[in-house]
Amino acid sequence: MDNASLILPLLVLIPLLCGFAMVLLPKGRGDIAKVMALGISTGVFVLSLFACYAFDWSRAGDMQLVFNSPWVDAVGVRAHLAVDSISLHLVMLTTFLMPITILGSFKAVKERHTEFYLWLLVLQAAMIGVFCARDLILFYICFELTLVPLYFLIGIFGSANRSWASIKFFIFTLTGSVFTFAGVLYVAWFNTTLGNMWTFDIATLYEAALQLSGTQQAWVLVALLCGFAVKVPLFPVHTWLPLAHTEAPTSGSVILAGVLLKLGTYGLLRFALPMAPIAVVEYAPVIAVFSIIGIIYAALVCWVQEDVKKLVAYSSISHLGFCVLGMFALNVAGVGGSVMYMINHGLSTGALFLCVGMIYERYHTRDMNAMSGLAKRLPIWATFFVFFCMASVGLPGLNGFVGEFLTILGTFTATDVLGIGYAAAAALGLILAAIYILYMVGRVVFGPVKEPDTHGEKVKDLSTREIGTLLPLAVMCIVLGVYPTPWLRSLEPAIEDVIRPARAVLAAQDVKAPQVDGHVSNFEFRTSSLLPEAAQ
Amino acid sequence: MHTLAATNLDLINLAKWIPLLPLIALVINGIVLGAFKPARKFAALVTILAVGGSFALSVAVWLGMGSASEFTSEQAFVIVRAFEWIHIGGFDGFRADVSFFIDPLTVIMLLTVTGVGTLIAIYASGYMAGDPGYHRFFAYIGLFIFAMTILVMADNLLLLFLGWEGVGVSSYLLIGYYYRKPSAVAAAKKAFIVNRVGDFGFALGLMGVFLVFGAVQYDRVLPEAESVYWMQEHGLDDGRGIFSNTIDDADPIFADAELVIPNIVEVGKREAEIFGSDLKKTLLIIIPFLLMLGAFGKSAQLPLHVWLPDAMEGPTPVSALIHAATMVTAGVYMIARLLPIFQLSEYALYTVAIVGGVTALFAATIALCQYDIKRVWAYSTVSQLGYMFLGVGVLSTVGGVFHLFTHAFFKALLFLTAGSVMHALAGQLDMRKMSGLFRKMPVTAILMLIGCLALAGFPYTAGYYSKDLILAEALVAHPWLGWMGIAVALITAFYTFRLWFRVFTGPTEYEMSNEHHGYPSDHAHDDDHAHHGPHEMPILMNAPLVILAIGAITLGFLTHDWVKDMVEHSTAGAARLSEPHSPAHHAAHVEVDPHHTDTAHHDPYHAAHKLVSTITKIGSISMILLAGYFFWFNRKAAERIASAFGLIKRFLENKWYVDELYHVIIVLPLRVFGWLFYLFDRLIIDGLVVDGLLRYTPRLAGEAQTPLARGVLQGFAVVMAIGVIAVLAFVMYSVL
Repeated sequence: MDNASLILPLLVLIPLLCGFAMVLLPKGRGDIAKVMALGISTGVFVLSLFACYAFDWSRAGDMQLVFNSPWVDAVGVRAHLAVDSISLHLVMLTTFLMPITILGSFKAVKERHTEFYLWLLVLQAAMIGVFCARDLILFYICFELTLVPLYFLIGIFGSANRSWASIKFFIFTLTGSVFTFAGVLYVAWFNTTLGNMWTFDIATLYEAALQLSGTQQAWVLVALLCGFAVKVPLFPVHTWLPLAHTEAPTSGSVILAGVLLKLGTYGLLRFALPMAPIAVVEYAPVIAVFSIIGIIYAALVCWVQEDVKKLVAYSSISHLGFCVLGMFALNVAGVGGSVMYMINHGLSTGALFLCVGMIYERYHTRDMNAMSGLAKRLPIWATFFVFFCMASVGLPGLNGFVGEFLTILGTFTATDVLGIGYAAAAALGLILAAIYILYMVGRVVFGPVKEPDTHGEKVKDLSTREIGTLLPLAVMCIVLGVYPTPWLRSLEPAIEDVIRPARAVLAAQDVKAPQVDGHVSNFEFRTSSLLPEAAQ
Repeated sequence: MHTLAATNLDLINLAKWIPLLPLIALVINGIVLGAFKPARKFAALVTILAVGGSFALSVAVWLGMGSASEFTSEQAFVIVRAFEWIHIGGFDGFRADVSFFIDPLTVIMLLTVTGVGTLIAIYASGYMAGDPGYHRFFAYIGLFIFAMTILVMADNLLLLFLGWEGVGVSSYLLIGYYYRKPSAVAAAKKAFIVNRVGDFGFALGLMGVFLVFGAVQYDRVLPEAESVYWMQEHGLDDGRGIFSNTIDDADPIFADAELVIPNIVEVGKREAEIFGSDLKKTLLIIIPFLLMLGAFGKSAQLPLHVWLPDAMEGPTPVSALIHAATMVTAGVYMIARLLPIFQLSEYALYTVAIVGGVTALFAATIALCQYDIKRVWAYSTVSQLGYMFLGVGVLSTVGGVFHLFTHAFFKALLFLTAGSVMHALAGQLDMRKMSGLFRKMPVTAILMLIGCLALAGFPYTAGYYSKDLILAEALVAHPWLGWMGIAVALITAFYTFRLWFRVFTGPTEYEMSNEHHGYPSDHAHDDDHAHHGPHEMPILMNAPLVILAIGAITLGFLTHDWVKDMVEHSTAGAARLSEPHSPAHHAAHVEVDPHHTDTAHHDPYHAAHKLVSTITKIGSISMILLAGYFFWFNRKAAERIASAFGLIKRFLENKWYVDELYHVIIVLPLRVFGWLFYLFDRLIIDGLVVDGLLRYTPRLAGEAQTPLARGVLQGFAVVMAIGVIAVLAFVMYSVL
């Protein structure tokens, strides 16, 4: 193993170990804790830049920076970490957001600093682990491990109704992911029935999954959806999210919206698409319908919110609908748009939550009835806020547009899976997004000046620290909007790999459709028969 | 392959800088001056220099083109490539770059946008002086010019869409410039959302174009569309129809300007695909209607016109620049640019013409009864934009674009002079509260008179030429639309001079308003205006108006042939469009279709043109005289007549109650759905199902256990374990 192979384990271990090492800090020294946390997360970000440097972008679709060592030999569990371009971009999103989040909570957290930053760092380790894991058990462990830190972040540092919110969030997502686990365990077990040893290596399981029949795949898909759809969250299993967001501290919301929701879409991308292609092709329209309902439903719900943070939370549900929709278009544009959406949503919605947090820190309320015309009082904040709202609403030239456009384009052109009707319905979300975002901007930023009572505290515009948290995000919003080429180019080969099985099913359907009833016949062949070179 | 001289190419290559300069102005005004307060007074200077620089560059591009014989002898364009933007899916995939399509139509638009933009920026430097958001205003203006130039220069539909939404945002920010005024905020929001409805159609149309033609670049789509049209007309079997244009797709990044003349290569594959697919054939019919929706949103045509009158909440220079001269004409430009696509659908252009004509009439009737000066001009703009759509709808792209060009001058002039009046009267815009201002501000009065003459189509002014061109073509193509257009011309002359005579003639009376920099002010009497009453504007503000006024008089006869020449040699050239093919197979076409000759086309046209110009000449003058009688000499009579038609008057004053209608049939139901969904979310999904499951299932399971393990979480664990086992067992049972 060369040095490059150590990068990924370090990316996971540094935040994990350093996080726990913070327990050793003397009590009551929050100032040390926050500086240390900032230092560690910045270090991790620098390390992830090294990962980008070590990554061979000319073969971005391949798994690289492989670290593969035995772990629990008895059942074939290995500590196997590797990234392709999809994973690496999401790792970068995580490492990029974390220092910003930590910097953003310097003032918001008033007590139990050590614990707070500890859990943030553990959360970071778990998220990076999810994106890098190439072993199912490792993936699942990291996936579930993300729940614990967030449980504490919400439960300890949240607002009034935090304990119910944290329990609900925990139970809801855990229940779902247990079924997911059952689903992937089933694939691993199926692999042994083919005469193989027990293994949880994801690539091996991909190949085994090609032997699954259509019915078996349908069950696997349902099991995967149980967990991942809750995480995304897809309508109608989304109700934990608004509550979790409104109760979570700002940093929790930033990470939750920025990265954690993407664990769901990432899971669908990594497991559902390659492992259950026949079922995915069969049920893509159903999932798409739920996504579209989510887009429109959540957008309309946004429009009647009085709590700014709840509005942004519901907007996440609407946005992630696009993400799932594009994924199930099963073409490069759609899936590519979906991955871009994950990154872009992380940046712009993360930034919106930061902005909302800054208001909450100043006025201790997020009620839109209590505030108005803040542009007069906080011009810098207002500029950033309107900017990120525009990114969120999908203004061309800013980041949100790229993903949104490509997901709808993918849906539109996927005449074999979804098609124009779906795209048109989803595009209604463009109008509704403008309605609810401008409703919020119009009430909070513009209008006659009205401020909540601050009990004599003087309200100041953004400090240098706060500008420091928002500026990098704004810059990335522009870069990704104006020149997304490096991202799109590197994602393409990886996405082609992901959708290959599903494309093969679709190609077979095209050939078969004239002779027999295409849909029924799907279940009569196995994906492996369509992919001789892959099944070997 | 034709080539342009290197010097010409160098000049055309400057086009890259045209959008960049205003963008730099945005950055300087927004960030540098935002941070450094004492320098804020230079904000106007920065923007004027940038926009003026863009104008100079546009002139350079025009010169680069004008001296190239290629551009005057046949249709051609240059593509200036900047960098790759969105490209996915490999060679056959989606591709839209930041590159610019320079042809004569682009150049006309560029000259209009940057030229009028510079003049209005100069005016605004005086008008906005002393406003606390001075640098913010000029930053937004920079953003607007940036987006608008991108819009007209884009070489593909997606980049057009970037400019399209970009101007939408700058319009949003500028309408809501006085952001503490609730009416301004509401108007800004309305403008953006109504535009988004149009953009929804535009985005889908764009995707349809991609699905059918496999590209969104003009240089690939337009020739393809022309060749499909040819085949629609002449049948697939005609081998001459199978032409396609492919352009060498060499390294796209940082390529220099290159002259590309449609290079006919026999491909025909895509055409065969299109005709072989029912989906694509259906899309061809739908696409123009989707794109049209975008155009109607941006250009405030029925049924999406509602935002434009409210947009007058913005500062007056903004109304002049964005909501009269430039942005609102983007829809006209888009249809002119994409005419080959619109032709593919049988009723598309007819629909454009009908909507344009009906909107022209509809808005003119409202303008007749409004009392707010800016609103009169706003409805007049909607009405004039209707003319432009009528023009492109009857394939008179020359007329449509010519009217766009002249209208930019005289309507900007009208708005800015209205701004001067408003400025002088501290925000007063109600024409019932002013009269006989000629004596107080003669220069403004004369300047506005010139604008009014041009708008009314007074013989030999700019508006007269361009309007006649459209009306004559309309009369030939669809007589009923032509006659409707003529009726609108008469109404226009009347309402225009109703305003002018009311404001500037009669006894000198006025009532000052109390606005100070856009907001009602508590100390209006401290204001300069209150002491001095109405006064002339300083030279800095009047100089641009004089230039606009000269344009409003002379542009008609001076530039008539120039505009015709330019448009005819662009992709919107009607000569090519009425005979659907690219120039290369022109000869073949004449053989096929010998009866479709020039004389056949021109005779009815000339007769129509004569008829129209006679009617409008006599009509506009008599309408002006009629307005003079009612609003100068005998206002009592006007009031008597108006009160006799009380009900109709109220109906028109309330703008046909369209806003109220939309509120009831669209806004309210959506809002109700929002509430219902939210209640459903909280009470049913979350309350009943989720909370029910979460709270009671584990508790019940917990109760069933030994007292030691009793508890919610433990119970939950049990339920979960049972569930997992059940699922696993069930899955295995069903598949084994």
